[in-house]
Amino acid sequence: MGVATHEMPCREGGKAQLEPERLAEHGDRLYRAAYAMTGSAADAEDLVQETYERILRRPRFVRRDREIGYLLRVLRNAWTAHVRTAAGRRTQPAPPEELEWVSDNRAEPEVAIESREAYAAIAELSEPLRMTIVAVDIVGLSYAEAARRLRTRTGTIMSRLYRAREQVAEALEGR
Amino acid sequence: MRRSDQSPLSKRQQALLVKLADGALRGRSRARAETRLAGVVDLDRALARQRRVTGALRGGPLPQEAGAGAALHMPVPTSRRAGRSRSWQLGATAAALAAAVLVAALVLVPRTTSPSLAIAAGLGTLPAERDAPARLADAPLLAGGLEGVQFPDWAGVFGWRAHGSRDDELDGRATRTVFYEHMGHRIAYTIVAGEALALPEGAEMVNRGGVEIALLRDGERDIAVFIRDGRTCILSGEVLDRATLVKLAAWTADGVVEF
Repeated sequence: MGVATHEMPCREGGKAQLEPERLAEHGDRLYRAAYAMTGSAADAEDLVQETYERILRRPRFVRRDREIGYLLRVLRNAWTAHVRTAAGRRTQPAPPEELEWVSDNRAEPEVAIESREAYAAIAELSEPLRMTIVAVDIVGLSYAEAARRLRTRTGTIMSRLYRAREQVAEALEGR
Repeated sequence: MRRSDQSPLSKRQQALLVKLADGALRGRSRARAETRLAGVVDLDRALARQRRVTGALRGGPLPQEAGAGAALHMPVPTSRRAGRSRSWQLGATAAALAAAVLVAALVLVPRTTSPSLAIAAGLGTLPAERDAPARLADAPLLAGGLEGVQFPDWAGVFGWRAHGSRDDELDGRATRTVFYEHMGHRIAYTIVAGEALALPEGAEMVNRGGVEIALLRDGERDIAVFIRDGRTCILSGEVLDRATLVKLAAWTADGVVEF
């Protein structure tokens, strides 16, 4: 019999099962994180799909306020596994000018361009710096939660965040 | 990209600068941090650079907080845009396009499939006309189906959620199509009533878990044709890897989805 997905009860401690509806709610942020990590829309979609499949393989009980952090960790694990097993097969990041961005009326054109460039720059960062800026600036984790999820100290997170932003800023200024 | 790992700032100063830039310090903490950073050359510029990046990431075209069911506001290659989901309430415009699409389906794959199969595969490009069948609470299936063949419910395992459906009649046969969506992609699952159609000659055949699947391609769309309980089933859509269609087509849910 397949996985039962309806009306799973909450467990003690405020944890609830991560159901497809909850995953969908985090879809945008997870996708943005995946895009920043992989530098490719195609890889990002695959990565999010793989993340969903991993999570839905068995029931996961997570505190509601820690869902996105948990998802980020699974996303990162999936990406790490992919890199290890398929080293060198990564899809080439699409140049920003070849990407079509879904318009958002709230964004000024200049901001949209800057955002595009920033994502491209993040994909070029080293793994620790990239994961840090993804966790804090894209996924929106606190420094402490990011440290917990990335298994490092809060001070290290902030230091990495500084350096990651510096490198992205350099890319933005150099464009 | 030029690296700036050799920052003149200590790690402690870097951390303080980040917190200042993010507005994470208040009152005395903020004053103490400013004192400790007072000697930093170009402190204002360093803060501005940090904020420029956070502004680009948080204020860009991708919304910071996306509500349930919100469309992805992400960059996608132009070639994939055609496959992105659309609301099924397209109304008369889409309906008017339907006939043209069916004709196109005939033109696109006439040499590899029988006409009926070609048209049936084209149904997946049409808009949904009603809601998807309800999910069963006790099995990974959707309620209803066609001639005893039920549609699978992939939401719980693969994240593909049934999104809409439509009924058609082709050459006197009833067909039912359910559309599924996942991460902005849409695929269609069509069941054709009656005796199974002949699988197309020249199609690539794969066997996944005992399920024979014929694989075709129609422009950007991949098509998987297989038989369930004597009925022809067609899975079609734009996917990153057609292995996705194979995986979905052959999913048995431990025998719940019958073949």
